[in-house]
Amino acid sequence: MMDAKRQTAEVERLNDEVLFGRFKNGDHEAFDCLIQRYQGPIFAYILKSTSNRAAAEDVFQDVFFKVIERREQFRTTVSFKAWLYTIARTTCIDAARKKNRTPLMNSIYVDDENPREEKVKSQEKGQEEVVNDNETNQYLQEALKALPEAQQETFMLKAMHEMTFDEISRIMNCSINTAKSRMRYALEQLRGILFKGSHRK
Amino acid sequence: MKDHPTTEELFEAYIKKLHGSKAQKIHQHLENCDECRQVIFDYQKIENQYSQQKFEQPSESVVQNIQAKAKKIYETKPKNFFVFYRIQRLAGVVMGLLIVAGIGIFYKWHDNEFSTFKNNPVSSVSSEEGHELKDKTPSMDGMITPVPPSPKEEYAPSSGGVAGLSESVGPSYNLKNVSFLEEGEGTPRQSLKKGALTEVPKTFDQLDMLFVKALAVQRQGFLYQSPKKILQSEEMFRAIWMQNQNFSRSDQLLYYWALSLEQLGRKEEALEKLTLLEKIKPTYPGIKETRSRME
Repeated sequence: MMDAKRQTAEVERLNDEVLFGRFKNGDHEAFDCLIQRYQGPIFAYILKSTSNRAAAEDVFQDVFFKVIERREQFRTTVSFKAWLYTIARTTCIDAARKKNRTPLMNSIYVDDENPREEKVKSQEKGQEEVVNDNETNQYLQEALKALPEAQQETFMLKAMHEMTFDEISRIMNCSINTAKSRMRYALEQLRGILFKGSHRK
Repeated sequence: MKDHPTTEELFEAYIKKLHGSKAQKIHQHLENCDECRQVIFDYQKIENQYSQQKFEQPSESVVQNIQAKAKKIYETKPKNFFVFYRIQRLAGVVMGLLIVAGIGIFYKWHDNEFSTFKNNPVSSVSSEEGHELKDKTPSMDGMITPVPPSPKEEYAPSSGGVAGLSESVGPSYNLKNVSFLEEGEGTPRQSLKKGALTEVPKTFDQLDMLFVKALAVQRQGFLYQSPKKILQSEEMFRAIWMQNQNFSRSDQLLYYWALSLEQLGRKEEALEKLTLLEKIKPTYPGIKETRSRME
């Protein structure tokens, strides 16, 4: 029992590439660990573009099925995280094309009846804090919504998904300087929106 | 007014990508400028606020589906499945190429066999009986019934033709499987060159193949009423006989050779072949009927 726990803890400490390499060699538990690690971020990323939970779950499942099917194509020259997000991005675009929608950043909220942040926060905090957090988050989401799609995505990948600019450039198929520029513009605009009177003279 | 850095420089300072003297200059400025320092601070605050947002999780059933699929692939297929599959696919491609190459080589050899007789026909080879081919056009008058050629027509013996051709073929050989030459590929008598055979096959297997081809040419000659084909078949039979009289199918060879000679109007030679056949195999089917027809 203790050995199993210790082994699980050891597995969880391993980096993504090592875990995926183990999965390629037949260790499906290593893949379970990767799913646990990325299911939240990837689902959130997909949810931003699909705007529908059921569709997002379908896309989410497709993404990981593709990861399983294409496991032999993964090369350690790129990070697993960037590879995973690239698959997620292209799968979202394909799904959006099928529905004739603009691919990414079409809407922030799932729907008005089920605000996501409230559902998550209410599990952890008191009611008053939930209301305040909800308002703040709503405000943040609205501000983000005001940005052009490319800047939104770049900012999300950097701020929320903790990507490096190199990884962002691979996922979005652009140069590193372009990714940096988009991030800079996004920060400038968000600063102007969120902090009134903060414009530079 | 202080000399403020540009927004790009502030951003570079924020993401800590400034180096050397430029970095030192901007850091010095930031120590003394509240406004620029506020910009960096705001950037940090914005990122922190977004990074603290919790991610919504997918349904447990979806995650379980994915885990099940990951587990399943290693239960049904070997670990090195893709390697094995690639080897299999490669082996299939190689086999296909070998088959195509084999067919190509066979057809090239097949064409070479007939080109031997097109370009270097047998002419003055003498048989042991002292018979020599004479440079004359055999008379066909009255020998071949003027039936319009019909490739689909079943072979039927004419008045001077052969009876029971298909019956006398051994069980190991089927005329229907033999491919025929196109009309016009025969060797005109006038183009016969004198000289020894140069490219006659020497092994039994090769002679066997040549015999089958000779039969096919003869049959085509009968079907299309083509003296050229009949003559060509006679030359092929002769060449085989000259190469090896102990040929495994020499009884059949003599019989069909006699038929070709009969069609070419060379009855004496035909009867000689039948006489020889009677010595080798007196009970050869149809020999008596054929002899009585010729006499």
